[in-house]
Amino acid sequence: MSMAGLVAAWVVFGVVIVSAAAQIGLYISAGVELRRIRRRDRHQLWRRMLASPLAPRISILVPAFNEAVTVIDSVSNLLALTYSNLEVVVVNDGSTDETLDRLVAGFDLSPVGPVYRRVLETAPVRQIFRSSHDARLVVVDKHNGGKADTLNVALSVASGDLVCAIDADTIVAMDALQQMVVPFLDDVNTVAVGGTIRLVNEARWSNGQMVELRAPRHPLVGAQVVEYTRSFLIGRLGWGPLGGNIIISGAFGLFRRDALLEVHGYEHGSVGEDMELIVRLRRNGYERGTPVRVDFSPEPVAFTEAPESVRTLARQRNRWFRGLLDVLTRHRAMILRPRYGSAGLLSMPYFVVVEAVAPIIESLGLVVLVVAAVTGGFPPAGLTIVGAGYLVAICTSYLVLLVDDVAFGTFGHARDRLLMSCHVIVEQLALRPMTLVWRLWGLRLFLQGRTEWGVQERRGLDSAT
Amino acid sequence: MILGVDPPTTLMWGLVVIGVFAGCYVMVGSVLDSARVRRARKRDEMQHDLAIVLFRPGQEGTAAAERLTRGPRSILFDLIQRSAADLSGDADARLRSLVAAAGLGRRIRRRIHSRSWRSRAQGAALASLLPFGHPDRLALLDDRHGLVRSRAVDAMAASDIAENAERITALLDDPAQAVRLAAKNALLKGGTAIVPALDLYLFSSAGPGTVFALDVAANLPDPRLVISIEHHALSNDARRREVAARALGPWASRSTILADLLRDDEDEVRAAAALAIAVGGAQDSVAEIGLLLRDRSWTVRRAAGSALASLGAAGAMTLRVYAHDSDLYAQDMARQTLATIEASPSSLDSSLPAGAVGSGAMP
Repeated sequence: MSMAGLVAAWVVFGVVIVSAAAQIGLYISAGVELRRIRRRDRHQLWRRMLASPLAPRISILVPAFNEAVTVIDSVSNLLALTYSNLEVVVVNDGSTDETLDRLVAGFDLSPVGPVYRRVLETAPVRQIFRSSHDARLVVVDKHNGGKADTLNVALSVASGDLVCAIDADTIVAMDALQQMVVPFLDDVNTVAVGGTIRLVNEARWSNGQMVELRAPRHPLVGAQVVEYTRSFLIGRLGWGPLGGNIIISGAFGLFRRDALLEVHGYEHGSVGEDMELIVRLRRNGYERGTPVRVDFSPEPVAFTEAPESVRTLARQRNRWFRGLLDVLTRHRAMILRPRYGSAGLLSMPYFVVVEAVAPIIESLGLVVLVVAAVTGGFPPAGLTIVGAGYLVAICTSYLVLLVDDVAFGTFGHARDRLLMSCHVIVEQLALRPMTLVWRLWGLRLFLQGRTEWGVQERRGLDSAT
Repeated sequence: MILGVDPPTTLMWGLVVIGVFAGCYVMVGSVLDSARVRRARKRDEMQHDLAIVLFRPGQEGTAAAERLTRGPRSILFDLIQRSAADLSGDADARLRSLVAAAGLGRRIRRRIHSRSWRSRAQGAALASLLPFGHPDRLALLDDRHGLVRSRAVDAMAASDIAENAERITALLDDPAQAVRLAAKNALLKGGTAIVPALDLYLFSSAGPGTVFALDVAANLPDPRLVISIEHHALSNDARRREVAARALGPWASRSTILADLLRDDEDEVRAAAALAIAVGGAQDSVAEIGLLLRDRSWTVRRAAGSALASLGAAGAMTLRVYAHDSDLYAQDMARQTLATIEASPSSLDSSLPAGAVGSGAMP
């Protein structure tokens, strides 16, 4: 058993090191890209130009399913955005709570008849409402059909050249759209732009806008903050210069509407519909002979709550992993095919090795290690090897947090940084192993063909102070 | 003893390494915090001084200018860059004096001729601070980089815009959308001096910039432009018809085309035509606008309601008729509009939605 324990230790070490090595490449790429974007934006005073109502019209698509707690705050926040040519399309996906009633009362909605250009096949629409307070708001009530179906309805109803897909609980930064629209003005081949999402379970709010971000005291939330920062600042940004960006968070992304309609909108039956859409957009571009560009803005553009209970987090992570496996399976034809450019040659193989296979191998290695320890066959060197792997991961997390702080001034107090220092360790030693378990659970459900979403619990902004 | 160390020693070293990294994160972050706070404070002070220089001339202004020239150049440069495009008259002249006193002219020229497009973009924003007639003032309008061209157009002084109106109207068809937007904004600053160039452009062009040119025309009501606008109101392009309808608003009583546009196939065009007629106060179209309260599109119904609300007694009477219409959507819109009128009778004119006349961005 001692030999098995040693082999398992090397396997875990190898997996952690391979992940870290692959990510070092992304770190370098992200560093270069961050410097480039910050230098570009420092000299661009876009606000003047984008104040014109002839700036591209943006329709914000808000799918809402049982979001009664947060929906009014979220929609009010969207209508207060500073972008001048804006429309907000909220689609109630057959909620069983008071989502629609609260919208009707909150915005004085009246039915205007379910008349729209049905450009995509979707579940039937019951009614369309307009607000007598604000002509930019459209609320659609439809039969339950899932998130992809809801977004497709919103896509049909929307009138903008660009559409911004967000979750109903996402709080968008005031000037987020001005920042996000720039890549579309810069390059006609840009079809999608994502932005950094911050977790704001503990933050100071004023008039629906975040004025100060605080480090969360809850270790589970803090660990997720570390994870999100690394994922957005390195994972998303790093793929930009390599041309292999294939993820835009479902919580906030801006797309060219005609490009979405060309690929028939969101895919029904996919658990990871946000990633699936980007991969499909890229695939379509390559197959058509005009590769498209998917950009990423590192500035924090939207804020959302992190799950605070292990149960909710487990469901979320399991769903994400099933989504990843689903996308990689659906688009396996792209992997290692030069025809699909950097997406096929770099990012898809990376996601297969580092995001899909490595966690499974790592969890198996950890299981053997634990068994070896229990049976008394745990080699002392095993601790050294595994510890070295985790040490590298912890140190890189500190570096990422520091870069984030330098670039965006994320936290303003030493107390917050001290808390975050502890969360880094929690993330590696507690959240990471837990995530491995949830991924294995997700793998099992994926193999069983399960595609349900699970329930997300919301607290609402009022308590997030 | 693999790796030459025993686990407890490794663990201790591991903890030390973690401690060093965590310490660096906390300390460097805190040092940067205080630097950020100091810089923000300095920036506030300099911004205050700049405001004194620009808007409170005299002894106080001179002292503030001296303090500014002694402050960090990077902050001064950034503040000037942000203010340059929005100033005119005396304030603009004082800003020029400050640039000369601080010796920033050479710095601006260096940026204009830089090989880096980012530096040129910065230079473009400041080019208008160079002396009048300086060859570098408009050099970046022809830059090869779209973002530099857009900054160069966006930062042009009103006098330069008037003198170079034809060159700017040509930029309305630039391949970069940012340049087209900037050219539109620049033309809006040009006033009536740009009308001949705009008229010529509208008469001869059907390019991507036509919509922008029509929007400028909508914000610059000038009878010389009516024929060109009417030409575009008959275009096959719906967006062009929509903006042309808006631009025809002030001449609604003279133009018969707007009445035809009330029956257009596109919702947005019908809505724009109804609102434009209300702007022009053409009361003879009240009945036709009333019919639009039964339109299938909410956008058109709302525009018709707003238009009728702005057409005085005739409009209000039409709304009362439709408040009892058999079409429930027409009834609903008429009642909503009447409720708005009754709640705020003095604000009838302001019941027109934003964008009813041009972009609402008057120069």
